[in-house]
Amino acid sequence: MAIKIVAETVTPRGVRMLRLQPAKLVPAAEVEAAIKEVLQGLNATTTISYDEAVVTVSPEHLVEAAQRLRDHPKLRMTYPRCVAAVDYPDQGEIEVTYWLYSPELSQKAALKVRCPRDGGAVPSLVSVWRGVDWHEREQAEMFGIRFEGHPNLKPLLLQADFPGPVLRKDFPIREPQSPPVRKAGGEQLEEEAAE
Amino acid sequence: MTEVIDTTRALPEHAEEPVVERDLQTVEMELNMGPQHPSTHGVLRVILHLDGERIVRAQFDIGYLHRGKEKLCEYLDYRQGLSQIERTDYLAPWNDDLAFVMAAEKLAGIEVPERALYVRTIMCELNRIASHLVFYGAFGIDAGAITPFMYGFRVREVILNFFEYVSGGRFFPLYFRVGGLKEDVPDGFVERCRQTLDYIKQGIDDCDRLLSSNEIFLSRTKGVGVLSAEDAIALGVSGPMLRASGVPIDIRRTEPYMIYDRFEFDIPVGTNGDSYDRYILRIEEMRQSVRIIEQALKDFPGGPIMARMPKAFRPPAGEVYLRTEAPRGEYGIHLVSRGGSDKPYRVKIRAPSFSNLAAMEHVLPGAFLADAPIIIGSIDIVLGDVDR
Repeated sequence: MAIKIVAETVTPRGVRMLRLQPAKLVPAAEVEAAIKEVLQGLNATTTISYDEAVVTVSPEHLVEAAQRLRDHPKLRMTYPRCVAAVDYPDQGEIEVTYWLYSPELSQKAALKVRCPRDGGAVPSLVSVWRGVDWHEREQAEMFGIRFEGHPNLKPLLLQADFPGPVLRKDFPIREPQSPPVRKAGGEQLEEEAAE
Repeated sequence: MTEVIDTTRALPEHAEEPVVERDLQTVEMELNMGPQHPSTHGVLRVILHLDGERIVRAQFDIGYLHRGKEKLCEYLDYRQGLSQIERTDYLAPWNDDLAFVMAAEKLAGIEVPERALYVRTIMCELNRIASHLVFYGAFGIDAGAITPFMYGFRVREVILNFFEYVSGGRFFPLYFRVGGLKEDVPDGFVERCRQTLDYIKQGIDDCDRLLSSNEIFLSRTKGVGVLSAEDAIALGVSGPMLRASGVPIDIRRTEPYMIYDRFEFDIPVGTNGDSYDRYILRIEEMRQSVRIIEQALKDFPGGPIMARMPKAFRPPAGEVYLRTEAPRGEYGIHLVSRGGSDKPYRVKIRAPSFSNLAAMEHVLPGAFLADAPIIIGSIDIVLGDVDR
């Protein structure tokens, strides 16, 4: 484990108190080099964004890439942090990012995949990390994409009859509307009665 | 004249054995819990499938508190967006703000002055204590004890007063800014903070003595809702819930941010991963927070509180994911900027309660129905955080 325990005491109530050394994350360049080596043959492109190694793969290689990231002894990305989709209407694509972390080796990375906006689908990674279940469900309903092979892709946060994927850029935010003012004299009341 | 019943009489010796009908058909029962239920800590609906008293399957229906914070942030600039961010996890607004401003600062490469960092640390740790005290009170109620609620809230009140004194807001401070703080702390900040700490320390001890060794409480929480370390990692659980399962991951130590590497503090870690561990861990965490604040007050620096900032903050194009250790776990902000705009292109909030609640689908099966409120309460969910 890359997490170094300097001292350990036990409180009277039986809680282990660990003094940890402030960990140093593996530099992004090293993680990037390791990913390049591990994901050979999967057409992966890697970059470094700020202090994060970012790897982009195509949807057909996603599951294989995720499994290698999780299981390879040089990477061991066992901890799924977050799944976030971003809509790029000018490119006609939606980008899904999996933010990953390895508790054993103290390193982090991001796994990206892109799919078209219209009828887009990416393979689900629930089979690799169980923890992305709800995250994928949320992104699916918010962006109108499908995660192929997800066991339960029902809407999570929005009601069933909500119109459209709300977090897409072309979904407008509506100005708050004041309720219709009822005029004196009963004019509008008659209209209502006609309805 | 009333008939006198001889209570000393023994029970009949040849009481018949209960008849068990082997071919009795039982059906799985579906029980709805919530959204209006006192022990769901907000508006959460759980559909429990029961076999007798045992839970077979649990389905969660969330979204009752969904306010579209992520979408709203895209329409507000970075300063205005804070007002939305801090309303996600409304019990830890300082920590929410911190993650957001740090993400924006990382995007633009801004160095924040020392004094601002110290104030941020102090306020966030105080907020951690306040948040854990709410958990303490609510968890006591989940276990059937009303008094802890009063004890927890009495201490929290003092912290809220301190928040008001510093920022003007008891609940929602809106005090952090990208690049520093809104304004300098009021005069006598250090002195008043020390006084508040003295009260808190006494308060935590009182709380601890009141509930932690109560026999009923122990038997209701020990061994209930166990989550193993491997499962916790695979399910993306974070915060005290992860540490209760024996995984020593605290982002303040495993990925040090801000100035946490300067302070000495211990990470409490559980051994059984049950509800009691999740509870007692938070009590110890409060004490460690006090330690951090004391150290921060000791070398509280002077100087500016704001970095040199342009009038309109327009970060360059880029993408960051910034994680902080909030009271409930990993609070992450995924911030995307396309450059030239004073509004973020996309804000994704990684809410700790969201992942922790998702793990409940795997923890609840096998537990007793009567333990469900305890188990759900032990993760310290805030539904505003889950639904955003």
